[in-house]
Amino acid sequence: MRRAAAMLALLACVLGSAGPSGAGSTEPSLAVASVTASTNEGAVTLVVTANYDHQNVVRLGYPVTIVVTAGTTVARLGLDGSVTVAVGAAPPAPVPGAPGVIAIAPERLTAVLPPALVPAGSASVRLEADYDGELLRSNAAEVTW
Amino acid sequence: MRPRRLSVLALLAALALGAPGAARGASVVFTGDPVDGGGIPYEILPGQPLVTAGPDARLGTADDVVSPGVVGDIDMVVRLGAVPASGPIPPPAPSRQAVATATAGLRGAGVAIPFAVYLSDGAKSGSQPYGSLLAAADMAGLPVIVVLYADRDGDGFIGPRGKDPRRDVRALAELEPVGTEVALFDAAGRASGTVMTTVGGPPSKGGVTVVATATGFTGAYDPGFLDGNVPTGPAITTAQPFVPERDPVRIFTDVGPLEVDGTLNPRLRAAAIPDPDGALVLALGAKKPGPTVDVARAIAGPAVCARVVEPARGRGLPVEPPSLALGTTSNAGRAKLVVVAVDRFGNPTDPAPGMVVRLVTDAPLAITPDKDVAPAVEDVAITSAKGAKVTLTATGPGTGTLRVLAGGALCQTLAVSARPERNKGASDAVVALVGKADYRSIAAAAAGASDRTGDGRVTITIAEGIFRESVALTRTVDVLGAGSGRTVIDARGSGAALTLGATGGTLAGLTASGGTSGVAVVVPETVSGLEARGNVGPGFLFASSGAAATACVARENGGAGFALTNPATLAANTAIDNAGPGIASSATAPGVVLDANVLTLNALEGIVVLGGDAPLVTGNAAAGNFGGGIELEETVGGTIVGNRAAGNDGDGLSLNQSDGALVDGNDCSSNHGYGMRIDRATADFAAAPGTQSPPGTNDVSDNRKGEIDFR
Repeated sequence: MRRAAAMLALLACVLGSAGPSGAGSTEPSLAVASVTASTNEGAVTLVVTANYDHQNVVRLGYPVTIVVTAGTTVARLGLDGSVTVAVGAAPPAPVPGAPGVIAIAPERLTAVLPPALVPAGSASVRLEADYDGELLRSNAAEVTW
Repeated sequence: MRPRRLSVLALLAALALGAPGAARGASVVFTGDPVDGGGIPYEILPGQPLVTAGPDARLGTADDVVSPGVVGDIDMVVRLGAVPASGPIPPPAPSRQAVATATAGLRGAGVAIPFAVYLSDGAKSGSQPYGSLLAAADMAGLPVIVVLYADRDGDGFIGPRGKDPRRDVRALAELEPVGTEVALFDAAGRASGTVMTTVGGPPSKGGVTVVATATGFTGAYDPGFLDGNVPTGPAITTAQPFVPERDPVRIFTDVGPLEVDGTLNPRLRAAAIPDPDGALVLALGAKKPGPTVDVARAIAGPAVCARVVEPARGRGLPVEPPSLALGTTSNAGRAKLVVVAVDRFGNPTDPAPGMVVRLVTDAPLAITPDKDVAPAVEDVAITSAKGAKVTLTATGPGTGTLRVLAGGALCQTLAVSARPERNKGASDAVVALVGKADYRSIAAAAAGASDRTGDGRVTITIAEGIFRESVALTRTVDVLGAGSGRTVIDARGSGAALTLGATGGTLAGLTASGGTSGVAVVVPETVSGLEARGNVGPGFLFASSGAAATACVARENGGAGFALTNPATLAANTAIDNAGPGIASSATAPGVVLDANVLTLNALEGIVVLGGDAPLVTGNAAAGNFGGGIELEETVGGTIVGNRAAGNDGDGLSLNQSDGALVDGNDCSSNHGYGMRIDRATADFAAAPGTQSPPGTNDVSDNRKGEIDFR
């Protein structure tokens, strides 16, 4: 019986009469699905496929940042174009002229790594958002170049 | 934070009623409006006839019922730009000679557009064809959502008009919102705020026109309806460029309160592709806005990158080719394109001074003008918003990419293919809705085309357009469309949009839409690079053992993105924003292979495998779905290795009465449920010798409910 019920439920999904969502939340969703990197002319471009609540980021303008960590070096690439790098316990320092985030699409962000991270060859990438005073963090995804 | 869940009973009730508008005692704004047999006002677009679902209970399908004798009046009006804080409803901005200008961007970075929404008594006069302000006290505090659309093609309208099939299919892109905001009505019948836009045109060209619409929600808040987050309805609306979706499941995937400063989750989308040949003329005027809507201009932000686009036609924004499919001879072997500067949202804009970008290709292409005698690499200076013209010429058959670099940043990667030709076009039959063609229907060409070129194959090329038919391929043919979103098969709810019932052929450059399924594969064949979008049921349906899909995209379908009723192989596909799971397998025979697929923003799970032995689920990314990440139910054996089941609203990896799988190296982190949920199931949680306990070599960190839930 249980299997029959489950089959019916799945069949409903397959045929289009999907049931209601299993959950919902009023806070922004942050999830990294995949990250790819490519190297061209010495620059590393990351493409982050993610759910980052694009519509609400545009509407409300709360800060969303791509956080790239390689060893003790942490780069923070803001959707507003800001780029900072922190090494070890040192405070984050702006990186003047760094392109940072170069493309904002509903399910995809594209960013250029600051030069300090290029030699690392691999890094961990996650998203962070400061929403209503609360720091939200996504899962992390590893990427190599 | 307040977690919100849809009430199953409320949803079922709403679905049974056919619309979220189930309230009795409707607002004064409905005075004099037509009502149904239960006394509930109909939800009708102003000036349009009533459209109700036919026997299939879905809007947007061929059996919809249009009632010309029941026409909507004006209940609501939206205005953009600076307007008085009180007083009567002002005319649209062009009549006020006060068209506002916005800058595309995030709030705080771009420039927002002020808006005001007014309730109207619908009593039109010569001087006020939009009626007079209606101070409906019962609407005070209720929400209204303002949505912007952009006149991307510059034809003065939002949405298809039925004038030109090529323009119509490209106008579908105009139905994507470019800005959304919520406001609350006051007791005077007015709501106001500012709305951001993500689309703009080059500043030197004065930007692009955006049109504002509004949808308001009437009625009371009832805890039994969408958890009290949304008034019970009916909804009221200004003119819209489509018949709006009314299914709450499609609108409220992730429901929360409709608050001005909170997250806003409803998707006010079209029920289906608008039918420009049908009874409704829905395109919104952008040069001369109708009485209920208004316009503004939006300009792009500063240049940060560059992209290759097709030459602009008229005053519209240039668009990117979905890919480059060339021949090898004559004009078929050449593509004339333009390199333009773009802002962070991909909008064409004025270039930065001295902007130079590099084009690089690994495909058999020559890029001209060639200033460096290296045909595969070219530096191109962009000096104006018009961009720089380039010509790409195939030097032989093959595939590859064209990359656009700006200062080393990879701005764009475009797939390129060049196929060998025996004659110009290498086609045995051409299908087009207008102009010179062999057939007007894809199905007719698939049945009747013969091998005219003598190359041993039947090749059918299809022009751009929305083909309203259901196509079944029952013999070996090659069907080559003009690209995803360019050649659209719209089944209007009558069966699968495209059924592949023969092996040995090639399908490319097609979007399947409006079908009970989008692409149905009923033979052991592989489909590649197809798109299924906006279907009633699943995007792709695999009903044959040995069927396969690679590099396909399923978006915004009413069922699963990819549905398997027989074992199939899915590799490197993408499922986004479907109303069911990203991938749903109910195949009971062994042989399901799911590898390196990306599943995100789906209303249910990323992947569900129900029944069947030894599923191979490897390297998939099921992240950011509104259900769980990966769920196996009643399976035996199998390999669940190297997947990302993270950041989902439900559990990361769920094993329900599933035994004997190898579960190794998966990322089950940052979910709102458990990292792993193991319900009457057993598995080996690491590849090391012997049976390993959970979590083994899997990452189950940072999950809200905990790492592992045993039942």
